[in-house]
Amino acid sequence: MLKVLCVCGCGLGSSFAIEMSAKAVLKKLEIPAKVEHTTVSEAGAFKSDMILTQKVFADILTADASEEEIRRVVVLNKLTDKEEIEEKIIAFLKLHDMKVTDHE
Amino acid sequence: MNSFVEFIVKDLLGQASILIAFIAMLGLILQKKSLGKIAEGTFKTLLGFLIMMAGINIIVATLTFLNDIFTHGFGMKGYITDVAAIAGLANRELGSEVALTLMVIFAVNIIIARLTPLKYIFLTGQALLWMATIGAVIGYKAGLTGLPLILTGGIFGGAMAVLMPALAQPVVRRITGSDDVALGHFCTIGYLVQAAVAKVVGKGSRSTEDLELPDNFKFLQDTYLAMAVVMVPMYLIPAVAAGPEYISQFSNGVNFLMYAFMQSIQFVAGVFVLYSGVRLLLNELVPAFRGIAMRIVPDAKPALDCPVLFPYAPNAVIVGFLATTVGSIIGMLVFPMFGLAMILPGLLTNFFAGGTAGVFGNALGGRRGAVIGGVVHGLFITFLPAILVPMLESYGFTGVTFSDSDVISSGLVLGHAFQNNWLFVGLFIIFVAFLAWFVNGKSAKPKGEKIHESA
Repeated sequence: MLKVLCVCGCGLGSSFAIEMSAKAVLKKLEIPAKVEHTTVSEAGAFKSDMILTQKVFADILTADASEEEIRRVVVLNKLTDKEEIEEKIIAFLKLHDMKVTDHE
Repeated sequence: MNSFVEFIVKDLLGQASILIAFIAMLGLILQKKSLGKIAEGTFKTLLGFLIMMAGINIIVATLTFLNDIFTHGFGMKGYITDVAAIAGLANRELGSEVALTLMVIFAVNIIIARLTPLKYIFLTGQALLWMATIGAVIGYKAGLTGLPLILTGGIFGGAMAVLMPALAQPVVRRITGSDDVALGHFCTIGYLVQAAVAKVVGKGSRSTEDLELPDNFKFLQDTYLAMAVVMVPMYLIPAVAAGPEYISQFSNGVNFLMYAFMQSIQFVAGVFVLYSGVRLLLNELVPAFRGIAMRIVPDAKPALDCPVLFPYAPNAVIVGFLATTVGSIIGMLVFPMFGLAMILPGLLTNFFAGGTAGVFGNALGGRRGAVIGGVVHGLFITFLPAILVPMLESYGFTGVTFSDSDVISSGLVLGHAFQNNWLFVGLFIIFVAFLAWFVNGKSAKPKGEKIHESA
C-alpha cells in the first residue's frame, strides 16, 4: 500500500484538489494507495511514502530535512493536471524502485 | 406518534452535526460506495462537525479575553478578521440552516453551470461553507426562517459561486495561459481591486518574477506559524496597555504577559482544531459534489482554491502578501479616525488573498502593480469588514468579523437588500461591474442582475 500525503497551507482546498486528482490517477494505474491531505504544519507528523505538494510548501518541507525526507517530496506545477501527476508518480516509483504491492 | 415525529425533526435533523452527516451519507450512497465506506464517511463527517465546534469554543474563550483587555487597555474595540472563527460562531446557532444552505448552493451552482455558458463548478468547500454561513446569518437576522431562509442564502450563494470565478477568469487565463482551471476563492472582488489599480499604475513595470527574494520569508508560508507571529503581539500589546492588575482577574496568579502569550497561542490552537474539523467535514461532501457536478455538466471548469495560481508567480505571492499587510496595517490605524471599527489584520487572509492578489497585480501591472495594488488591496479588505461591523454588531457578534471580500460583499448586499436600502445594493453592483469591466477590458459585462433578483 502506497501512502501518499497531499500538502498545502491550510490543508483544506488545494491539498484536497491534489488528493482528488491523485486518487483518480492511482486508480487508473491500479496502484493500491492510501491518499490523504493535510497542512504543511502537520505534514512532518505523518508517515508517508510520498508527498505531493506545490513549490512554496515543498520549500518548507525540504528545509533542514534529511536526504530521505527530501526524496519523498514531489513538486507539482499544476494542482490538478492529471497527466503531470501520473508522469511524476510513475517517475517517483521507478526512481525508488518501489514494490507497491507488498507493503503492509 | 407525535413525539416520534418531534424526535425526528427536532432531535435528529435539528442537530446540525447529524444533519450534515446524513447529507454526506446521501452523497456516498449516490456514488454507490460500499457499506463500510458509507459508514466511515458518515461518521467522520459527524466527528468533523463536533471537532469544528470544539475549535470554536477554544477560539471564543481566547477572543473574549482579547476583547476585554483591548477595550480596557485602549478604550476601544478591535475586530479580528477570521472567517472561520465567525463562521464557527454562527454555526453554533444556525448549524442546520447553514448545512442546508450549503446543499442549495451546490445544487444552484450545478443548475447555473448546466443552463448558462458559465460552466464553473466551485470546488473550494470551505469557501462555500463561509458563503452559506453569511447567507444564513443575514437572512435569519432579517427575520427569515425555514425554507425561505435556506433558499435565499442558497440561491444567492450559488450565483456567487458561478459569477465570481467568471469575473476572475480573464485574468486567470492571462496568468495560467490556459482555460482549464478557474479560481474558486471568495476574495475575488479584492483581486479585481488590485488588478484595477495595477492596470492604472503598472504601465511598463517589470514582472516580479525577475526579482530575487530572500528565503527568510518562507517560514511564513506555514499558516499557523504566520498566524502566531501576528497573534502574539496582538495579545501582548493590549496586555501591556491593560496592565497586570486588570489581567490578574483572569490569570489565576500567572504572570500577566505569560498569560496573554499563552492565550494568543491558544487562539492559534483553536484555529488549528477548527480547520481539522472542517477538513473532516468536507472530506465526503466535496468529492460527492464534484462527482455529481461533472456528470451533469460534462464540460465544467473546476474553480479551485487560490494556491492554484501560486506557482505561476511565486515572487508576486510574497510581494502581494507583504504589500497587503502594509495596507491592512495602515487601514487599521487610519479607518478608526473616520469613525469606522478598528480591524486587526488577519494574517491568514493577508497571505492567501494578498498573495493571490499579488499574482493578479503582477499580471496586469508588474512590480508596481503588485506593490501599489497590494497596499490598496490591503486597505480595501480592511475597509469592507469595517463597514460590515455595524451590521454584525446589531446581530450580536462582537470582536470578530468575516474576512473574505466576496463573503463580506454578499453580507452587505443581502443585508442592505433586506433593509430595503436598494441604493447601496445598486451602487455596489455597479462598482463590481465597473471593476470587472475595467480589468477585463472589452470582455462581456458581468450579469449583476442575477444577484439583484435573488436578494
